[in-house]
Amino acid sequence: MDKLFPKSYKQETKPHLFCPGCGHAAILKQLGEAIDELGVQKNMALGIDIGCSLLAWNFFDIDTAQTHHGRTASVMVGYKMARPERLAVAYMGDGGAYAIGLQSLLHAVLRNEPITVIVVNNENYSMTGGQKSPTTRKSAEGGDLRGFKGPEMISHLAAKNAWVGRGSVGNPRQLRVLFKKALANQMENKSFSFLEVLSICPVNWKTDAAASFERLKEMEKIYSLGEIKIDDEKN
Amino acid sequence: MKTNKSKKLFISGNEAAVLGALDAGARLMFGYPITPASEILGTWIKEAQKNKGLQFLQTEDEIAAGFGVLGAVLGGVKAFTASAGPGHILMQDSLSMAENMRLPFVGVMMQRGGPSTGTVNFSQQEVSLAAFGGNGDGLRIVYSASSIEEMYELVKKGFDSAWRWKFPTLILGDGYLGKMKADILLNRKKSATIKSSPILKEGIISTNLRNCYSSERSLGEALRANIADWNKTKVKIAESETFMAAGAEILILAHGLVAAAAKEAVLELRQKNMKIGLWRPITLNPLDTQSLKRAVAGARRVYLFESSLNQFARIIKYELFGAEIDIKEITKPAEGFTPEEIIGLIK
Amino acid sequence: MMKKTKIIIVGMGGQGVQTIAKILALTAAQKGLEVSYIPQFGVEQRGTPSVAFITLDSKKVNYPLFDIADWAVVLHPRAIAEAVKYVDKKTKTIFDSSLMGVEKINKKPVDIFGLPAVKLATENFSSRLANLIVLGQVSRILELPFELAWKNTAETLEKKLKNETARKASRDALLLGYENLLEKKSFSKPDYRPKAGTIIFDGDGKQGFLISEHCKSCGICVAKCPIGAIKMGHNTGVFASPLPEIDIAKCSVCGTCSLFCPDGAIKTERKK
Repeated sequence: MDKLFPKSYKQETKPHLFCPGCGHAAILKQLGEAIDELGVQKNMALGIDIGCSLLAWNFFDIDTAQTHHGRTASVMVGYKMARPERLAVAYMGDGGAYAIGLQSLLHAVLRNEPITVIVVNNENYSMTGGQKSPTTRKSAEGGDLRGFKGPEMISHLAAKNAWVGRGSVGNPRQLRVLFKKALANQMENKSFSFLEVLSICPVNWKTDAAASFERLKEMEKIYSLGEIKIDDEKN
Repeated sequence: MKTNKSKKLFISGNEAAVLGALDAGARLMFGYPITPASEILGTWIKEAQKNKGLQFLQTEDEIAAGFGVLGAVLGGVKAFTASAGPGHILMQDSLSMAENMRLPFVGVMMQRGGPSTGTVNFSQQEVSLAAFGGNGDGLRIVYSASSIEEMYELVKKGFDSAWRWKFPTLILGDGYLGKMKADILLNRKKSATIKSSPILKEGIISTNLRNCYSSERSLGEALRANIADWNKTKVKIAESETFMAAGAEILILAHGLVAAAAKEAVLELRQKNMKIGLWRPITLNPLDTQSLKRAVAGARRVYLFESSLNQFARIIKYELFGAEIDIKEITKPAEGFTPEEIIGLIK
Repeated sequence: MMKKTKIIIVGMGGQGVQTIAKILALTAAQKGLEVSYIPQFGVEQRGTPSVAFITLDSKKVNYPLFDIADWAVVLHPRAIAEAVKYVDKKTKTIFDSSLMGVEKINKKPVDIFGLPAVKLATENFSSRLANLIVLGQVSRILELPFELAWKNTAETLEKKLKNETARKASRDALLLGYENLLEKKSFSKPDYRPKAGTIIFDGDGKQGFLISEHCKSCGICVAKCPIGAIKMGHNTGVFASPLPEIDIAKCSVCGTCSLFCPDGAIKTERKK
């Protein structure tokens, strides 16, 4: 039988602790494949945020530090300054990146910090039980919200040589390519890179596998996938 | 700024802190402007413009500055930050992560009047915050500098302590100390005793650090190990100064610049044949309890002066519990003491 | 007057330990007892031991935790290590005799009872309803009325019981537990062990592999298979949940299942 896991996985921490059907595990699998293909496993550090993402703290055989909620971009900025020759990657959820840590995320973009930020967007705070997050598309009163277009906003602010994109758990092959681009950008252009990944949360969405992917399809209609480039030089 | 060893320097406490960091081998500073500590970042930037090996980042807030320090130390570089009052409060978040993960965070805190935005020049109201802020049990090393020379020495020593013992380390100044300038003779020496190395070890087997645990027991186990380390090393960390306390019937307890004023008062009262001395902690946490107990043992009267409401007294009284010593506490939150005032209060 | 009764229920996260503990506590309170219930779990919602502490008394219960339980209910072999911390020789122990042997829980079993909950659930309904069989049994032991227990179960699980089939199966599972007699000292063998290791589906020059230790029964492979060659089967995985089965004759070896599997638990290939 061929391999089931990326080489960069830490075997002894499997089965992992994510819930059945969790998007995180599917995303980390593609991230692991991308890391394997680029051969950077031993040349990088991964910062892990709070929320469900924290369960990734020992997921890989890669140096990791799990930080406080929303603080992972700041920690990886500091790390990159100390170890510029290594890849610095921040792994966060939509709450950590777009709510409590948005200030630090935006300033890392504005300063064009040469780090890679990955944001898993499952439209809720999962670990605490499915509360509303900045990406939730229903208001407390039940009205429709526009959703939070993180990559588009960041693209407006990003430097010319920064890389911004969005992938989805619904398209693992594309996701792997996007991960490779986001990591390669940090190495080649020494500039900021950002990848949002649309994800599923069957436990808190209270959906089975099929319904989870149906809801994901709805998200993919609202949010475009691939590289996001907004050139607004004049604004 | 002159850095010639043989010459006297006319510098501020903020500038002395930067010299201490430089001589400790610091390479990176993260900061956000705040009075009265802003000159630390400003002076560091000037140094970095002269020396390509030094880096700095003016972050978007003190939260990011604190966590930036943690990122840099994970990478094995001696890094620090400086702040005051409200900024010091925001840094408690990163300080508690440093406590849990045993990261050598170094911060210089020039205390300003509080609570809230308060005043921008003086107080000793960040003692509890520095020593016991956050949601841990205060496994942090806290120095309190009493002069510009000592600010230099303690910042330098603070890096050594942080990297040797892997406890977050703060060096407190009380406001005036940041801004005041004096003609001082610094004995500048590079401290090369403790080297830094990557905490994310870059090894064959990965380093995986966390601060979130799944059960009371697993966290308890990790904490017990940290507390055991703290208890083992605290006698090596704790420092104090005993000034003219031999045979003293009256003893003053004070720290930071209040102790500097008390020193002047002691000198003057000694000239008037009053048997008076001073005991001053150099580390507020851990406290040099043995030295404190010896100093108070012979005294008939003990005065405690501080520019906060019992924050220093709480630390002292906890250590002296059961000693049956009557301590007269004189507190002036956010206001300083002049030597003349101390003399007047003792007479 | 009821004597103070201390109960722990342990299982793996996802087995519904806290759900049945809450229902039990609520039912006992409605019956007029003083109740304290506290969950103890890690940050993970699934996959690690989950412990529920319940104390019942006729007087007010001031503190929710205790050292030794009067009743220990053990739902999963991976949670035994948690259970034994609260067990001494006087503790009456109920364990899922279809999943584990007795020896690791209590060396000198005085009052130890087998309840083959997963086996009963799998044979009669689905292994996911094993927790309700346990709930039924414990409710009976605590002399809680069945209808009250069912009312609270139905209200608690309201969202999951919208269709009539699911509702009926849940009620039947609870009733089966309530009426099932515990095995005392003559336990059905734990031969109903979860499938361990790799299950191989072989045929037609193709092979499918299912790593039962890794499968969490999320059903993504079933939903994603473009030709419907995977369905949930009757084998139970280590998470005490049903494992998928590959119809290898039908399988086109497209690789979609392993591409989407978040757990690295499934793989198909042509024989080399």
